[in-house]
Amino acid sequence: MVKYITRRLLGTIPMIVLISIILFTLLQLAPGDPLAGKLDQHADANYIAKLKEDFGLDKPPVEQFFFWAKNFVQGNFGVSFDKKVLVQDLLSERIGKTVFLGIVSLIFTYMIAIPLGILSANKPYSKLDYTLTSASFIGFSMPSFFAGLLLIYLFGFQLGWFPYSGSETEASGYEGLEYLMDRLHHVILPAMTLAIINIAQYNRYVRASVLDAKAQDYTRTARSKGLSESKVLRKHVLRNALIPLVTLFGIDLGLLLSGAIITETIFGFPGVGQLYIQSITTRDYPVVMAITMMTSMAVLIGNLIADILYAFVDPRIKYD
Amino acid sequence: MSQALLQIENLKTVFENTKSAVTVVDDISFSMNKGETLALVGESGCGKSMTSLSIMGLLPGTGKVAQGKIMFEGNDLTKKSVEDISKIRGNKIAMIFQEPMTSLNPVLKIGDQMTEGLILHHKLSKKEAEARAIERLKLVGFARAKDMMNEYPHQLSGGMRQRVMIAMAMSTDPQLLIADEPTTALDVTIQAQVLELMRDVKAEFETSILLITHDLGVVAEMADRVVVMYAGKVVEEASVFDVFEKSSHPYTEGLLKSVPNLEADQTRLYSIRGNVPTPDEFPIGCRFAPRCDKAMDHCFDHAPDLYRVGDRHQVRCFLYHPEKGTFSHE
Repeated sequence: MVKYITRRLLGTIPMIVLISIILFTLLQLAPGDPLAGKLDQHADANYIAKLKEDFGLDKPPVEQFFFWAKNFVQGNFGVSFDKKVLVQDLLSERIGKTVFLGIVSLIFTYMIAIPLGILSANKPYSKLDYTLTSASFIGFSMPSFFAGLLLIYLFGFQLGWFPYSGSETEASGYEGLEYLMDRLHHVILPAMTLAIINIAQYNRYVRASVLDAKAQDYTRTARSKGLSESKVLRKHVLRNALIPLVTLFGIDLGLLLSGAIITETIFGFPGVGQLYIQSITTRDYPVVMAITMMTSMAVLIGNLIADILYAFVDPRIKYD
Repeated sequence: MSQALLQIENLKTVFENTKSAVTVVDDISFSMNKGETLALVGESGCGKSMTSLSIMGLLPGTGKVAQGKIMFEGNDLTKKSVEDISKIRGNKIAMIFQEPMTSLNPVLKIGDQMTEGLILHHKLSKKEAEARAIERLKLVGFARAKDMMNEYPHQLSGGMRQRVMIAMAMSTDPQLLIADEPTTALDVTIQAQVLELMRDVKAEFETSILLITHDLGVVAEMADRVVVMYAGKVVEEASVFDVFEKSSHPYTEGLLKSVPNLEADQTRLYSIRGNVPTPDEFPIGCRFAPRCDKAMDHCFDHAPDLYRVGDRHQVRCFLYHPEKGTFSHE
């Protein structure tokens, strides 16, 4: 197992190098640069040159890349062109919030999608099943900016149950549990917005997977032993049916860090996604590079974790 | 008949949807005595598996018993509640299936799957159940039964898995073992081993076996009596001796002729012409008539009953009708 993990980790290195090269090239090809829109047209040419030199933009792209790569490997992500602070400082205050949002939304997803999928599979082609299918279709088709606004309107404006902006009450002076509850209160609507599309998708996977497992010979064997239908479902069907979900879980793990660009923007949620879109608009190369690299690595590692988890949930899979 | 362990009377199994109903088992009756091995023989799609699943109450999808009685130890299983059936299923009636490769749960240990029924039906503790399971695994020929309890199905071969299935089915000392094509998916050498094992088990526990098969070699080796099914109906019921020596129904004759014979100087193996009709297009007259070499005009628009031709020997064919002479020939 250790050998397998080492091999896989080593295998991710060339991928990361490749991703960074592609990403850097794409950023270079994108129109505009970090100074665009920041200076008025009468600005002194010497001043512009000075600024470019400060940012290292006067050097050829290949040299810029190696300069960035050398620092990145050493854990130095550079200074934000736009905000003039260290990228790692900028990220560290946001990652926690984004991960919190992601985890709450994943908990919603699993806690709602799995039972719904099982319910659907228990009575396939029933009214309930068709209702859930239609609801999933709608949920899956709904863009998150619309879902977000809908939730804000309903639960924020009309009912006033949840705050719909920011990640915590400003200057509240809350501490400990109270602070946690306040953050939870703020995260519920954006997390639900993110969860809607996932629930719509996941309950379909669960339904298909459970239906498939229910039709398997081993399920018939379990029934032939006289086990109750609920025991058959819990012990024999679900253990097999939920194995494929591990793959999805791996992808989700990776995406936890990337944040949700649209949802965070709608809810004014100061997470990584919001920073990402800001940085792209201002051509803040170091921040864009850092977030994209971080997300890519997280996805690769998430997949690795999923593969390792497989060995624990499925005895047929062994790594050696 | 009073000591019959299992008695099936006029069983009719249908698959229904909102538009139509398809009858896959049509008015079947037979009975089994204690300690008897009855072979249910027929081609694929004749309803033999559906008969066994009807007995178990395990019909898939929309299948259900529409008519008839399934009397087991004097109780009608079709009248029992789901809970009561569950107490019999896997306890007094156990079943093994055709596909050993997929019949065991891939993510549960053999020990876990072996002890489930014992803990449920015999109210044994986990430890007692494990001891019994190990004993039964030894009985089916596993020397290292104890280690196997901690193994997963994928670590075993097909033959081994089928033996595990037999050990599992026999763990609760069932009165009736239903074996649905237990050797079809196995290599020939393993087949013999599994059949011998089933005979040993039967001798040791006096279990009755309902053997579902299309393999006449297996029938000759295992069965006391034979019920031949065709297109959802019983076409012949006889002792195993009568079937092989005095088979009467043209379909049974056809089946026997389709078995390769080393002594006869055959260049080509006999096959019954045509195909088995599907349940939604069973012929109105005798269901075998379109494929029968001896069919008379009468056969195509009249359905024959079962006629007695000997001691516990019945045939569903107009050739054995008491007033056969009155029918017009082709």
